[in-house]
Amino acid sequence: MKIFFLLLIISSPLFAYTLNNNFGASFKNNEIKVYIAGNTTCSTAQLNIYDLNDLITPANDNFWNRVPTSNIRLSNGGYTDAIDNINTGRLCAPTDNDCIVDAAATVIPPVDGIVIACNNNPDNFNGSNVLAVTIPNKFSGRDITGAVILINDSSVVFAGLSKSDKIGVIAHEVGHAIGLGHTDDTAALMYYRTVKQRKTLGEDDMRGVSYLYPMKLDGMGLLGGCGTISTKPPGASGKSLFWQMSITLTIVILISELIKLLRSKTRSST
Amino acid sequence: MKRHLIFILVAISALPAFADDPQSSIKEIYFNLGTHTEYYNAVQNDDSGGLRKFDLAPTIGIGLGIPWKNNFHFLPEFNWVLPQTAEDSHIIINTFMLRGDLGYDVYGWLRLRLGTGIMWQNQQGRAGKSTQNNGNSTSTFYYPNENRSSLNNTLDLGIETLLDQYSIRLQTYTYSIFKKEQRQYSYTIFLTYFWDK
Repeated sequence: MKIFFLLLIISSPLFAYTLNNNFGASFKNNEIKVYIAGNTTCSTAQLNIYDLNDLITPANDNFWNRVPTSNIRLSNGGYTDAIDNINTGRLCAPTDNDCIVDAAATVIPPVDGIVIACNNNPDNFNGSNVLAVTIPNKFSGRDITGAVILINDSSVVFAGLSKSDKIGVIAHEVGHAIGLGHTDDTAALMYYRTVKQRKTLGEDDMRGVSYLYPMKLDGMGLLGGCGTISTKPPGASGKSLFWQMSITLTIVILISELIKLLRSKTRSST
Repeated sequence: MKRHLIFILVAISALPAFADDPQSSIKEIYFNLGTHTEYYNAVQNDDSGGLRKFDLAPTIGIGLGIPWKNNFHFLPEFNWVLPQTAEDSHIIINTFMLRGDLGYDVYGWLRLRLGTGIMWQNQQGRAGKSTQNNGNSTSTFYYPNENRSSLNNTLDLGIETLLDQYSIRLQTYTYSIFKKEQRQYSYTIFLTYFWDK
């Protein structure tokens, strides 16, 4: 029994994930497409748009799509139409007033979903060793509807990474695009630096994506648990009601059986 | 919400109907104490690529044993992975399991379990700010400020050695069994005390 009590007071240390903003913004629809800007060029990063395309699916599937407690579904959306200034512009988020007052800067055009591009304007990156930045640039109330990921094409730092590290960098930036901030946990994908041996998400990442995009009864994967847009208020879906009724009925039967058992115990003891 | 409340009230009012037969079907009441490992071999736990295989997450629970026929039993149980607090209690995480197993006693000392459960993972965000490294500078990020839950159905398998009034059990939970890309495995090691065996 001593071991049990020891277990109660010992548990693994936890860090904590953070969010990009204080209102917990996330995409409203859990099915989010990740696109490549059709007119992007990544000469210093030594990529073409097809190489970039090859990084997106593993960044989605090896990381964010693997969390069963989250209903997020990221998919490769292919190529977008050309976006003005995407390769060279000093690009501002619509809420970044310090950037907008710069005469040389332009507010990045709103996009739908997540768009990835390379950009060679060093002013967008706070140093040549910064691999990429993410600019959530389209909101509807508390919902993100669009975000742009810019890979640093003004230095060779991205080109020097292995393919798996490039996938990790894209996955990290996608994490920002879907609403997550940084964490102190060096094992987490959302740690601010790249980790050489990045294999999967850390615990913080899994908790964070489950907070922003929680799964609601998936029927072991058969139902999908998709957060499809519904006109019903939360919790009023037929699926949810069915489960609640089943659970309540089971509990009621078990309580009645327990009462009987306790009664018979009382009788036998008297 | 109103619909759910009405159903719960009706269900509770039906309690006496189940009590007509004075003989209880429950033959065992047991209490669990153990440690839960979430997502075996699928969570990175260090910066050199190590994956988590074991976690110390204290878990308590209560279960019932209802004999069915031959050596089969219906074994419903409720377990609670005790609250894990993160970063000065900015986030509190509770995991609850409502499970039902069909147990088969292969021998008097060995029980196999097959069942299903609902995993309810609740996260209470306590709000607040955090200054984090962000490239060559720092940025302010935010802790969650709401209470949100994930619900999953799991396929559960267990093997239990019965030792008089105690047992040791390895209980596994498979998430998303029908969706390969999302499938994950968790497990709990339980030491169980049978109060009414």
